[in-house]
Amino acid sequence: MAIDLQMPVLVVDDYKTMIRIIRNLLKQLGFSDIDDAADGTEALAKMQQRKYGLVISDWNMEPMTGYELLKEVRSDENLMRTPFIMVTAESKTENVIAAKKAGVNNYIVKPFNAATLSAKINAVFGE
Amino acid sequence: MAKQSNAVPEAECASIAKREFPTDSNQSAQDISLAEVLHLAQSSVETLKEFLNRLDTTVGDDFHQIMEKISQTRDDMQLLNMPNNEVCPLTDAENELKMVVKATEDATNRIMSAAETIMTADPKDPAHYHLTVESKVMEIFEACSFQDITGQRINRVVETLDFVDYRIHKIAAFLGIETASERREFNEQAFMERLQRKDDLILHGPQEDGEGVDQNEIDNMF
Repeated sequence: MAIDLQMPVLVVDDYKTMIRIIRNLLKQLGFSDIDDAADGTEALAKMQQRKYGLVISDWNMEPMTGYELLKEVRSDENLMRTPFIMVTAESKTENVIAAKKAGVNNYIVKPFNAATLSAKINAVFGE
Repeated sequence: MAKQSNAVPEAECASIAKREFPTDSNQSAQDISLAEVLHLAQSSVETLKEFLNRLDTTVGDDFHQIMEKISQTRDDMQLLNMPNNEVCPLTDAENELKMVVKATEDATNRIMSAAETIMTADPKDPAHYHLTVESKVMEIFEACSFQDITGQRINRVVETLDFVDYRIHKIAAFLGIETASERREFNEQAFMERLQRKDDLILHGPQEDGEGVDQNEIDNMF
């Protein structure tokens, strides 16, 4: 599966600074259509309105966490195939296992760099 | 609980005396028999016994109340340890703040180094200069991500301090100690529910150095 740099990407994080950082890193990688949401609830609402090619989500958010968002996405027939990358400070083994079990495509621990983000996106799209 | 009087009421004494020694105007003090003296002594002992029993009960009640206060205070002190937390929350908070200081320092150094590299880059080679500036700007963006992690750490410290503040005010109020400041509103039930939610949703927050798994280990899991 080739990476379509025109595809809409949804960045979900409750820290606006982090959204800006990921936005800028994605722009640097060539992505141009980047949307954002402040938590899982807002992200889910946006995903039901628009088809995104990739979701990059934080874990620790209120009221709906990234983990809950992932489970919602994977249980929705229309959304279940959306590639989903978790970008989080939660780095315990049980978190990674739980996310993998819930169907996450890749997992990035904060703090991270542009190279890591690029490598994980490539891995998700099989490049 | 109202404190009981230790004294036997005067009216009660008079009543006992009247019952035990009815006044006979024809009988003088010298005519009192030994049996009557013994009877008087017995009555005195019984009266005294009743008084001592009351005294004992009152003192016992006081001690019981003190014991209850000590016990409840001890329980409240023990609750200063947050549920599901094996270490003292204040030690935990101290560690979090140390990590905040370290992360801030690291990020500042990274940002300054990147900025210094840009400042000293040679613009005579435009292509190389462009690449240098671009990569160093990316480093600055990456370094700025410290704000997310330090924000999460500081939130945990604030939550811990709120909990400790609440408990200390509760203990002070229980012991009748006036505190200088008004206690802020704190919903203990909501706090406990948040802790439960964190457990359910595996929300540990940022790990300390050496805790958790690194990116390479995660990559192996995928």
